[in-house]
Amino acid sequence: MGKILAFLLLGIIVGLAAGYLVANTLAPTKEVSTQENCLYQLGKFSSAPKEGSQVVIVYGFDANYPPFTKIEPNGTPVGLDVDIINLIAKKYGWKIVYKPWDWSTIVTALERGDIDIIASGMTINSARSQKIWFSIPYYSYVHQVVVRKNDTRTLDQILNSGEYIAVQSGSTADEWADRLLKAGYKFEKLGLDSYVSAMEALLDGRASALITDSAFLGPYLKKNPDIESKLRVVGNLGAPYSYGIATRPQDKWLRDKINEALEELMNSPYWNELLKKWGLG
Amino acid sequence: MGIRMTYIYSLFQYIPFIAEGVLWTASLVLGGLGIGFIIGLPLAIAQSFGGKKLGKVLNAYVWFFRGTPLLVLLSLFYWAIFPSFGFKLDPLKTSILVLGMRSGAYQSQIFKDSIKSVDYGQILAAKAIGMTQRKLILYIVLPQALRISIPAWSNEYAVILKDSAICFALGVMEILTRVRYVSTATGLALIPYLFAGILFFVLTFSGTGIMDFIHKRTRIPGMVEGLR
Amino acid sequence: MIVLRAEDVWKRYDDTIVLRGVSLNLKKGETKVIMGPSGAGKTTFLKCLNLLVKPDKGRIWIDGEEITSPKADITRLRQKIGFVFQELNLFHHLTAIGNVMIGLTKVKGMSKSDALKKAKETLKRVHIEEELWRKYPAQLSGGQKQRVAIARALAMDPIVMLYDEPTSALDPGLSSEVLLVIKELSERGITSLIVTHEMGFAYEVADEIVVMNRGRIIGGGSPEELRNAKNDEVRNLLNKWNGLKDGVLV
Repeated sequence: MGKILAFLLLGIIVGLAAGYLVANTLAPTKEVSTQENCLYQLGKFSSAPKEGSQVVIVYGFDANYPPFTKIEPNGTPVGLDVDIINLIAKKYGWKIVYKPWDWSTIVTALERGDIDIIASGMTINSARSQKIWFSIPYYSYVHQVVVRKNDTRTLDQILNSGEYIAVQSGSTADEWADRLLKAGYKFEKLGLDSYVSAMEALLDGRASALITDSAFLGPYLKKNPDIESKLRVVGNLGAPYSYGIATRPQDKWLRDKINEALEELMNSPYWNELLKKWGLG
Repeated sequence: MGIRMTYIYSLFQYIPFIAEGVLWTASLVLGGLGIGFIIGLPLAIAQSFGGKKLGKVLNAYVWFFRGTPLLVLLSLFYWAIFPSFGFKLDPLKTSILVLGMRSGAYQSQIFKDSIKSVDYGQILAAKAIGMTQRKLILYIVLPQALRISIPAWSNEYAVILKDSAICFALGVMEILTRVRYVSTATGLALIPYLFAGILFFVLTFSGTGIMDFIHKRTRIPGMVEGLR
Repeated sequence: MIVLRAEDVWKRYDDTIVLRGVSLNLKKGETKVIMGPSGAGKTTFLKCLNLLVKPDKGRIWIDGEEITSPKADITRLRQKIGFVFQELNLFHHLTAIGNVMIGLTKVKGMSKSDALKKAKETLKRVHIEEELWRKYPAQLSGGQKQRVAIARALAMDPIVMLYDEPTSALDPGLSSEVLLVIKELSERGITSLIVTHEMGFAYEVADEIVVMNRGRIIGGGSPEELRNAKNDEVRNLLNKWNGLKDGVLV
């Protein structure tokens, strides 16, 4: 009996040790500065770094948002946003450290210094702008309502049908659904955990319509022409939104450099090729 | 919903990526359980045999770590508490510590209950042959209490495994996170998540299976298990 | 030579006074039996002697040392007292021989081989044979369990053995093997204080019988003297028991 207990204890200690080892090999401790987020205080990238020193930017993103961000089988991130950041880094000779991060805490991570920039299909809105500052917009999209091809109703009819409309939970489409419901439209909201799941709900009949945005829908339909033939866009909701690259308010130098590079990129012929590459052009 | 063969193929390519997540999940779970044990057992002993004042302090610890949602605890410790003490641990170590402190709170209650269920006569008999409190806890109460705890402890393992998925809030790339990424990248929902489900099932089953095995091997011959 | 002395022991639980000034002496080699109705305070008194229960008032000496003194080394003094419980209280997770050995190894600090040797001898003394040694308490009969419990206490070489209703929790058929062992030990000179309901056994084994009722010693004497008891209260009690106890002769 004592032997079994000894083994159990040994197993737990081994587990702890293994955990510690894994921690040190897979994720070496990194010194991260934690600073007050006052606009007038100096931040990590408020001014140009020393001549000749290597600039390392920690790039935070939610790899769940193609074609802007997604993960390849070997673990490398790809997407429009990734390409943009890589191009900017190449221009200035910066080193990029990729840090996938949960969307729900990604803003805090930026504020607190775990990451230095966010480029992940992040919509510029006033709530976020209180805490983090955006670059110039690099992509615009509009919210759309999609139905199955043979559904010939108008947007108004669908929004008042009382049937299920699918959205990705927590997304801007979700917010739109809530806004519409509050305004008095009659339908049932069906929240799924991803755009793909929401799309599947529309296709298999669980939902009569889908609220999504053109940033997702365009590339997705281009990639899946068979689905494109099954759906039609019934109408747009509201005004266009834009994506921006987010930084901490006090990192003025970083933001200026990013804006400079973005403007140059978007004015070059390469920009259209890039958009086409990801199905966005 | 049609199944696109190219996507199925690329799904298989993602298997190493998902498998790497098992390492992270395992270190979260094993590390968390281990720290939880180191915290929980002494806590339970102190609550069972210590004074009232100490008991109140320890109760506050348990109440805090059980009542606060894990997501809140992770953010709190990672961005507020640890930095205010002057050090900043990386997300994995922080997650393991927070999971450990939380599990310690739950495990202390498990052990406290099983210590309580050892009948008092055992303690009287131990005292009667001249054992000090330290000795009677170590040689008489704990061997019996620990064995009684095994089923509940194996449940704690399953709970921590489930909680480990939340640690992505600090950027830890455990299994579920990777599966989500794969699902989005391949455009498939059912199959990747099914794969994740099977993976978690296997992990749960093997863990609780080991516990069951230990439980059987430490069975006291002749004793009838069940309500006393 | 007095090995155990209790002077004016009082104990109360909430509103009930369980012991009202009980005093008792035990000489080396003596065997005394305490008898009395349920609730008389017999078990409480016995448990006060090794401080399993803390008396409110009164003093107790073991082998000349006062165990009730605030400076007393209680764990050391308890080693001199062998206590046998009504509820047996064998350690569930240890074998019979393990139960006997654990006090020797963990309290007395004996080596495992010495402890093993001593445990075997002691178990033989209580007629527990080798085939039972590796059995767990749950696999033993009540009588076997209690004899192992006696061995566990005896192995510590105490100067006095206290038996708290050793057969009350056993099936009637299993009592005799236990009582036989207690009698043998008493006849071999082990100082014993026994609380029991078994009147016939008491008359056989006791040098002196002490009668308690309602927290007090109301009388006592040698078995002969009690048979011709003059004290009314004692006599009434004894007579009452004669009618109630089955199979126990007077």
